[in-house]
Amino acid sequence: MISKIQANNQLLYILVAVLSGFIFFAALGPGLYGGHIIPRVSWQHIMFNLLCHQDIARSFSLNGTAMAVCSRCIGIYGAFVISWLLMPLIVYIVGNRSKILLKLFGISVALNLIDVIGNLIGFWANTYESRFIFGILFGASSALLLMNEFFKRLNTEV
Amino acid sequence: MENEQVQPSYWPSVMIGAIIVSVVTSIFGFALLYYVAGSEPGMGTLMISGLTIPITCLVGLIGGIISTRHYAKTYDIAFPIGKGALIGLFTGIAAAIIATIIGQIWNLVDPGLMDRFGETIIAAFEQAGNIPEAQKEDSIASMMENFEKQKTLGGILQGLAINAGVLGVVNLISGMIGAKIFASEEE
Repeated sequence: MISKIQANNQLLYILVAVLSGFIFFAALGPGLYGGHIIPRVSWQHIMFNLLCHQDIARSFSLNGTAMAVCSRCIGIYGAFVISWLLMPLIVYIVGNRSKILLKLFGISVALNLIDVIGNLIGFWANTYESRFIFGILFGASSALLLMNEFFKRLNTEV
Repeated sequence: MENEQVQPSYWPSVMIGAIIVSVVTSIFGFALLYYVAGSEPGMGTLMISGLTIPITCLVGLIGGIISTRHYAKTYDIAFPIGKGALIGLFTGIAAAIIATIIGQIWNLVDPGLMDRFGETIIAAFEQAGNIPEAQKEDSIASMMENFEKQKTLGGILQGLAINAGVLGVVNLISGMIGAKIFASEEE
């Protein structure tokens, strides 16, 4: 038995890889180039001002400057682009598992909502790390949910 | 090709997703502007830790999902993720345009808001003690230039282009997810 990977929608895959890579590097904020730049007025912060609250108290810093998005969002964008690039390898290893991936996506959405709501109503105080980890889960599961639309593992008899 | 021709227009669905995203993000955006504009300058102003609206991180992403779900459910049709990506992309771009229009209308209602926001941010930054003086002056000059630029047509269009680009990309992705969940041809 030999496993082969069949690729579909290749142009869309490459387009999303390039665009999501750019989004991730922009989300790292002006600190990527070093130095202090005023939060909220860099082009990176303007880029994400409709997408993220950009609360500095809830964002990681890079070279002493707050990232353009919060810790949850940087987890989402980072995990998405890494999972997206690793898609062919993941398909090769785990195969086509649409239903499990859909469940994983649903669980990640639910965990993030529970975390946000629990924090808002004061049941618990989430941390940089917890928000980052839940963001990673959401970003990775979003990319993996689409895995079978781009790559399929075919098993052929020798 | 024949199937393409008989499929109904997705523009009503695009507009529904775009309006929801732009209205909700505008409300959160104005809440932030009024909070900062009305607060005492200080590092706390820059950090806005008193105003935690983390749910906004998820709102901007859902336009593509709303539009593709609406399109699939309204017409009870399946479509490929490429079409979901296109619907999501248009939703993000339309959301950015509508949000810009809402912002400009609000500027007429409260013309001093952006000035008060800018003054508070600059005053807060002037108080920051951990930044070298020369760098602080450069940054403040560049920030004032930015605020002035945002009042011009060129600045407004530049902001619109940036927001349309980023909202377009994230909603392109969420449009694919929406197509996968709500309009997949897979059994």
